[in-house]
Amino acid sequence: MTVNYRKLKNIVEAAVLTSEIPVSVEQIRSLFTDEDKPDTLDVERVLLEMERDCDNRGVMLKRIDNGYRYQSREEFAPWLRKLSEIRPRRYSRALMETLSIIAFRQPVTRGDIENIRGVSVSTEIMRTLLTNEWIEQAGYKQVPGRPALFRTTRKFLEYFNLESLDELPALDLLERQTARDVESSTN
Amino acid sequence: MSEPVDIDDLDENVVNIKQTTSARKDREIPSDLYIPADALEVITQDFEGPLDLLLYLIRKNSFDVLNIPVAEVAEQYAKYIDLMQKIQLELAGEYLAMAATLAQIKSRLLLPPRQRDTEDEEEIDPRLELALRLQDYEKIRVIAELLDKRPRIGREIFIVHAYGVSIQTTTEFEKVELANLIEAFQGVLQLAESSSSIVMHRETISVKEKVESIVEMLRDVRQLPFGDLFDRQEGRAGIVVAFLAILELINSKRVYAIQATADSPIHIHLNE
Repeated sequence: MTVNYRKLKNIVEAAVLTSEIPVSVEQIRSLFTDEDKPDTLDVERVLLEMERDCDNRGVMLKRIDNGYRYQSREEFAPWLRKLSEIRPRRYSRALMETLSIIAFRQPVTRGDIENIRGVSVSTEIMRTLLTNEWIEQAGYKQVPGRPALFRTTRKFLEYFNLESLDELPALDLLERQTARDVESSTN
Repeated sequence: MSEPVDIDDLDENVVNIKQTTSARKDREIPSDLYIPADALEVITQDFEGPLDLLLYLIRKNSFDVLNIPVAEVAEQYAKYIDLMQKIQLELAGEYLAMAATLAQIKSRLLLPPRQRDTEDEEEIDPRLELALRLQDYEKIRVIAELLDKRPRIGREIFIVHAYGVSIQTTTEFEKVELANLIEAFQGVLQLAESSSSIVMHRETISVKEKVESIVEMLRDVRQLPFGDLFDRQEGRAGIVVAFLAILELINSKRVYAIQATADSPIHIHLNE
């Protein structure tokens, strides 16, 4: 490795700071030529150090999916909110319920969502979720009518500050549920 | 049903988490069934469908989801539906379908148990399917609330973003040659001729006057497309004068001509 540790850390830090999306270890490694490409372990060590460097700072290093980004700490939101002209948008209960179903039961069809909520899925809600890029189409279900399947995206994880779907609230609430669904569908 | 202990735990969680919402709802909806007409709109908007309304009724009466007194719930549900229909004409069909489902379950409960083929086969509670749906929906409702409370970009968290590479956004303009101007002028001339205006009298327009009128045209807008500087009503002579005036203005650096690419329209800008 021709790039020394100090320099590697500087490059990783600059890459995380300037990237538009959370940067993965692989993306960081791809920035180097074959001769001076750092080991995965070295990059991970640098990231860990960067995370620790943030102790006692207003920002922190957060992992989203396999990427990393710097973000402000939650406790400073009351001050930082005043910086932004745009007030955070409120989303309806219907939208949050629809999104929750997609997140927990993915991939799902509109029919699945309707079954759980007991009301028809609003086109407006689906459009909002799709334009926000929180959900995307994931092929078609191999049943008559071939309805479209939907799943959540990495943007969804980014927006709701989730490292992975496992970090979703109360996932255990539904685990048994899924097991039962499988049981009943085999009947 | 499996593991009834877990379900009890679960319901406790659900109730705890829901405390805030149900308190809010209780304020909005009086406990007695007589509801003033104007409050009804609030009700219909507040429920996210028949399951939501049903859960509200069950929780309000502290009924067990797994042991719903169907007759009583169906009656209360029907009263709400009646009231909602009186006010809001377009009640979602799903509400009515649920009323029918409740009526069906109620009647099935009244029937004597069917003859069993085998001894060990258990009679399935006609309420079971609905109970499971309600539980399913209630969980999603809780999860949606929790998801709504999660830290979000722009609300609880703000993304650090350093702009490392500045992107050059200024457009490089092509220099306008005299040939381009003449070409554009010919286009204007052709347009003027094809509009076949009848020149009634000869009007003398001096280049000097035209120079000032063009500057006047550009004063507020700062820039105009080349073609807009010509008044076709003035006929061929007037247009020629205007062209000479523009050339004069360019020469004296009072205006300058630009175009984005060699093929795009020429714009005349007033010099500061």
